[in-house]
Formats: sequence, structure tokens, C-alpha cells
Amino acid sequence: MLRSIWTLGFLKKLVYLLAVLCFVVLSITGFGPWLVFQKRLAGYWAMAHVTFAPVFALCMAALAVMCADNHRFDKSDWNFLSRIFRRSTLDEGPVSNGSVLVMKVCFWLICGLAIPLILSIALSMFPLFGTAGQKFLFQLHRYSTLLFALAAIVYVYLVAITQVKKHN
Amino acid sequence: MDFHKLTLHLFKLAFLGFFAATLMCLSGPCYANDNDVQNADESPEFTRIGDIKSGNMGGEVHIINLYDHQDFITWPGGEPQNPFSLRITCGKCHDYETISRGWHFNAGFESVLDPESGQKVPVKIDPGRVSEPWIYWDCQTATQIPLSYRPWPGTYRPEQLGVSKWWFTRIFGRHLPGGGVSVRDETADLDPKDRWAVSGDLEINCLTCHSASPSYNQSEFANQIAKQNFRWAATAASGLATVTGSVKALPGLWLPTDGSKDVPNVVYHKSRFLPEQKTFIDIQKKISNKRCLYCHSTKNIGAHTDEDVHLSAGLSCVDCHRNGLDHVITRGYEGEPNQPGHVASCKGCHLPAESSPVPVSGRLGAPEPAHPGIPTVHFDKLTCTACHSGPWPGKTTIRAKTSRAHALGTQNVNISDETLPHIFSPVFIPDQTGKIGPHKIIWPSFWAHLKGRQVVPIAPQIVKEAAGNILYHKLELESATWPKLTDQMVTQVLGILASENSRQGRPVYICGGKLYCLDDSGKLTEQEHPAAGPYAWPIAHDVRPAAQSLGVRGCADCHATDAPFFFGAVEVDSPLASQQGRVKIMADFEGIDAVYTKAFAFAFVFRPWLKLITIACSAVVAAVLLLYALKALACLTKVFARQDNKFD
Repeated sequence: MLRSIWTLGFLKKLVYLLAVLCFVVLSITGFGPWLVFQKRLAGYWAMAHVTFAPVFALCMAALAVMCADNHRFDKSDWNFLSRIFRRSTLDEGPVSNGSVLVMKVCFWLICGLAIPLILSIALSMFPLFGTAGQKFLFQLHRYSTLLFALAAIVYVYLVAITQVKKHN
Repeated sequence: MDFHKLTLHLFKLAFLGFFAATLMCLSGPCYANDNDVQNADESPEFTRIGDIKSGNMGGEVHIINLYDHQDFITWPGGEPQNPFSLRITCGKCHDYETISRGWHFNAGFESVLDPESGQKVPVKIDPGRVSEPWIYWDCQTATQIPLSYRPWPGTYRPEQLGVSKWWFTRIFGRHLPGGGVSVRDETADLDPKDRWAVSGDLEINCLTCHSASPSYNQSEFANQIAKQNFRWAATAASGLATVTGSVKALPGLWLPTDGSKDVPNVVYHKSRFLPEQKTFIDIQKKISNKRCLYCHSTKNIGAHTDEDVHLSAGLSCVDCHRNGLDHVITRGYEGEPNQPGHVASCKGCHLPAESSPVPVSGRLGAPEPAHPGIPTVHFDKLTCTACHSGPWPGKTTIRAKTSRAHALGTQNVNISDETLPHIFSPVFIPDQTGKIGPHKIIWPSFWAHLKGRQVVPIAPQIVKEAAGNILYHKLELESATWPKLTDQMVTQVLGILASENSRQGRPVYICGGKLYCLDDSGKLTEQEHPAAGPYAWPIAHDVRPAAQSLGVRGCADCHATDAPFFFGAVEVDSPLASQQGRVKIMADFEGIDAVYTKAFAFAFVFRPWLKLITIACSAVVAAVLLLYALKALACLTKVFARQDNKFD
């Protein structure tokens, strides 16, 4: 079963918190200029964005290594899905709950989207892609960020729900 | 409400907000299509035989009669031998009237005579993008001021300096093709100082551009202008005749009936004429580069620059700077009005036009640039010329001399690199589109009256007369550069100007980016004023090869902490001894916060680390994904194996 983040070690907590902080800053600096001023990312906003981005990338790598095993899909998830789709209701062992499954899906989505998200910018800094390629990479960054952020929000939301339920 | 519920609500709100934001972002900004093509009127009504295109690309041979300004044939056997008039000669087959409104002639063109009413009707000529002004300079009064008949911000009309159209032609006619302001306005009052009656008009000299003859001598044209022989200048330059005499040497109140040995005299060269009083004039429709470069050359002092890459590739100036019968030359900048957008600018040839129904890029062999590794934001913020044109930016700006500002190519010109006017290059400044591009600049320096916030220049002659011996005498000046002006001298001159005519406004002296005036106690004070700012005009040429463009060695070409693009020193030129040696950094001209620019440049020190970290992190995440994907695959194979065992 998925372990609560509160039971994680200090290092994991620190990485989680740092990742959330970076995510908030990157979201504000990334989406803020367009949503608030209808301008593209530039100036001090861009500098803050670029400063927090590598820290976030490090956090992502660390979280992937530290939490991947906890987010493995296992038999309980399969049983849950089977129950949902009414394929089998026989007792075949433990059954996961929906929020845990969605959390796992979100985790792997986050990991999967992190790659185009990071590489789209990292590769654009090398003299490999021309103007059309640069435009494509920028769009890739833009839309993978949107999906990434959606997945991250859902993930953190579910973590919060889990914690609230546990405390209640 | 406890903390956890509050947190839950906050997350819900954040999620909803984010969802809405996502929808907004996905809808995306709307970009205007900047490749919309404006088709120029390509079917003017031709009224002359010479203006109709036959379609033959071989060109025409001009074996023609020459006509003087009274429409008589002029030739070696004729008596008297008058200078030929190109208005009459060329006007036989070409529409001189239409041509005379072309870009090179229409600067002072403000009204046209309505044949029905006999009244002048105002005409508005689009001044277009700011360009190189005519620079009036005077060492004694430490003056250099940009003049233009076009209403470009930062320039002054010549009349404001006491320069009439005749004097303007006398001073700058050396690099004017004639026509426009160089032809007397018959309806205007005659200024007694003007000598139109004896100098004649400086009609459009078609040969300035169209002559292909190696004996055509534009320097002689300038020489004749200096002698005030306006009517004779084209004839003397053509190489078909020799002109002696000088209007300048004739007395002020001279009349043709008085006679004089100094009256200009034309002697046509017999060997250049054919039977039937005709001559061969080597005229070309496709103008050679050297004809353009006589007036459009730049000497970058202390910087070796090769020929423009387009010329080296075999193109000519007029391949891009085209015109029709109207002679409205394509200037070639983005957003130029009434020009076909798909040919007019760098983008026109080098980039595909999205809105064109047929492919138009690659014209004349123009390569489409790849720009590998250059973030597209650069194309929004910079002009093409920022990276590709002008001298390579150094730690400090360099001085430049131009044909028109320094009379390059004329006889007896001061070839010293120090001579006025002082032009600096390259300075990166936003242009009319807001994009940063390289510019040449001059720092205006002149005496003026301040009326409210408006600055009205004072003619140098008036300043000289008022200043008496305070300013240096002509003979005291060692070279044609700034005199060493002291604060005390400026204070004294301003004091005299104030006492002479206080009704015209407060006398001020503008130089080195500052406005100097006397305070109530008579002490010299300085202040900022828009009129004191530098006058800048864009550099379009010489275009450097791609391998010498900014950024070719990487981001550090511009984003290093000492890169000249942002941190180069721009000399603030001033005749005031106390102000000499001052510099400003380039970022001040670019309209960018210097602190931010420095911090941004400093961030590039860590850019290699950024690349390394982000790629390494991606690799780790990818490895984890791959690892668990393989594990998932292993599980699947086990499941299928188990199912097989069941069936067995």
C-alpha cells in the first residue's frame, strides 16, 4: 500500500516540500505573466523561473527514485479495477481504493510528463533545433506543463484528502 | 472550520482555478499575420514611350540629342554652347513630372500647383522610417545638428538654422541628385541672399544614378555645386563637356548683360558626338552599385569591414531597393508602407511568406536561415540587422564617416578621422517597431532658445556675431573638430544671447546629451531634455556573413557579463571640455533595466550547469520509468505464462 508522506523520512519530506514550493513558484512565474498581464515570460519572472527550474528538476529526479516503488501498481489496484468494470467480484485478495489508484496514475503521469517538460527546454539550449524546432519545443514545454500541473494538482489534492481522512 | 477542511477547500479552489486557467491558455493568444502582402500599384498610366516596358531584357541604347533648358538642341557646333537640361532631354521619352516625386527628390515636396485653380494644394509625403539626416556643422560655434525636410523626430528644418533651399543646395547639393528643394519655387518669395537667377536650378540629374559611363564624374558634379554652377553641374559631370567659370566668383548683383570672365562656359567634346548632333549616353536601367555607393558609403574608423555579403554574392543594391516609374524606392524595412511585403525586407527573401499563394522565399538565391539553438524570443525583440549588420560591436563604439555627412568622394575634403560631424556606431536602440537594432548616432550640439519645453535652434551666424571674441576664431582652430569649449565660454555666450533678445525665449546650449542654461544667479546649470538626446538612425548595411553574426559563438556573444551588446560603452560626444570622455552603457539606450541585464547576464555563467543538471535529472526520471516499465512487462509475461499453465 501507498505509505503516507508523513511516515517518510526527513529527506523525503524535505524533497516533497521543496518540490511543492518549486512547483508553486514555477506555476506562478510560468502562468502568471500571461494570465495577469497577457505577456510572455520575460524579465525578472523569467529569471525566477529559470532559477527554480533546475531545483525542481533535481526534486523530480529524487522523488522518482525515492517514491517510484511506493507507487507501483499491484494486485490490489487490479482488483479494484476489476470490481469497477464488474469483471470479477470474487475475493482475490486486497482491494485498493480509487483515490490511491488515481494518485498512482498521477505519479506516473508526473514522471512521464517531466521528461518532455524538462528536455523541451534543455534541448532548446543546444544548437540542434532551428526556428521551427524551437517553436515546437516551446509548444511542447507549454502543453506538457499544463498537463503536468494538472496531474500535480490532482496528486497533491489526493494526498491532502488522504491525510485529512486519516486525522479525522 | 478546522485546518484540514480549509486545506481541502483551498485545493478545490486551486484546482478549479487552474482548470479555468488551462482553458484560457489552451485558447492561446491571437497573433496577427505579419506577412500580409500589400500590393503596390504596379500599373501606373504611362504617358511617355520610354516608360513602357517592351519586355526585351537587352536594354536600350541611348543615341540621342541633348536639349538645353530652353528646349534647343545643344552640341559642339552650336552657339552658344549651353549646358544640357536632363529635365528636357530625358523628359522627351520619360515622365519627368512623375519621377520628380520619387523618394530621392520629394523631401521638400509639400504642395503641388492645381492647374485648374492655380492654387497650391498641400501634398503629404510619408516620411517613412527615420534615416540619416543632413548634418549641419560649424566648428566655431561648436554646432552639429541634424537637418531634414522630412518630419523625422529629432531633426530640424533647415530654415530654422537660417538655411534657405538655395543654401541647402549649395551646402549639400554635392550629394543630392537634384530636383525637389534644389529647384526654385517660382511661387515663393525670392530671398535676396539666394542666387537662383545666376546659379540656375539644380534639376534632377538622372545621370547621378543611371549613368553607366566610366567617364561620369560625380566628384566634378560636387565641384560645380561648390562653384554654385547648379545648371551646369550635370553637364560637367557627364564627361561630354568641360565647364569653366564659377557663379560664386560673380558679384552679388551681377546680371547676364554685365558679362564676366567668370561666367560658366561649356565646351562640348567633339569626339563624343555623332552625326546629326547626337551623342551616345551610356544609360542603364539597372543602376550599378558604385552609383549608389557614392552617396551611401560608410567608413567605420578603426574597424575593418568587408563588402556587404549581398554584394559579394553578386547582387546589386537595386535588386532589393527597387522602384517603378514613380521612383519611390523600396527602402526595405519591415512595415514599410505601400511596398509589396514579400520582397521588401530581409524576411521577404529569406523567410517563407505564410500568406502567399505561391512560394516567394529564396528569391535571388537567398538562403533560408536555420537559426539553430536561438530561442524564438530573439526574433520578437531584435531586428535581423541586430545580429547581422554593421560593424561587430566592441567594448566601445567606433566613429563612422558617411558620404553625405563628411562629403566623402568630393575634392579637397578633409579626410581626417576627427573631422565633424562625429557619428558613433553601432548603438543598439529599439526602432519604430520596438525591436532592438544597430544604429548610428550623433549627439546634437547647438545654441537655441527654449520656449516652454520647445527648443528653437539659433542660426550659427547669429551666435558668431553675438559671441564676438568669446568663441574661437576660424584661424585659431587647428582642425575641423570640436573646439575646447569651457563652461565659462558657454556662460558668457548665453549671457550675451539673453541680453540681446529675451523675447524669443531663454537661450540654451545643447550638447553631450544635456541642456545647459543660466539660472537666476547667472550660473551655468545642466538639465535633461528630449532635444538633447542622440539622433539615431538604423544601420541596414553592411550585412555580415552568417558566420560573423552575433551569437555564432554562443549565447555569450551577447549574454556575457561584459558583452558589448548590453555593456558596451557608448561615447557621449561633447565639445565641453568638462564633459569630454563621458560614456553611457548600451543597456541605457536599449530601454532595459541595467541591473536586470547584469543579473540576467550573470545567470548565463551557470547555464552549462543548468543544462547538465536538467539533462541528468531527465535521464534519472527516464531510467526509473524504464525500470518500472520493464518490471510491468515482466509481470505481464508472468501473468500470460500463468494463464498458459492453467490451459495446460
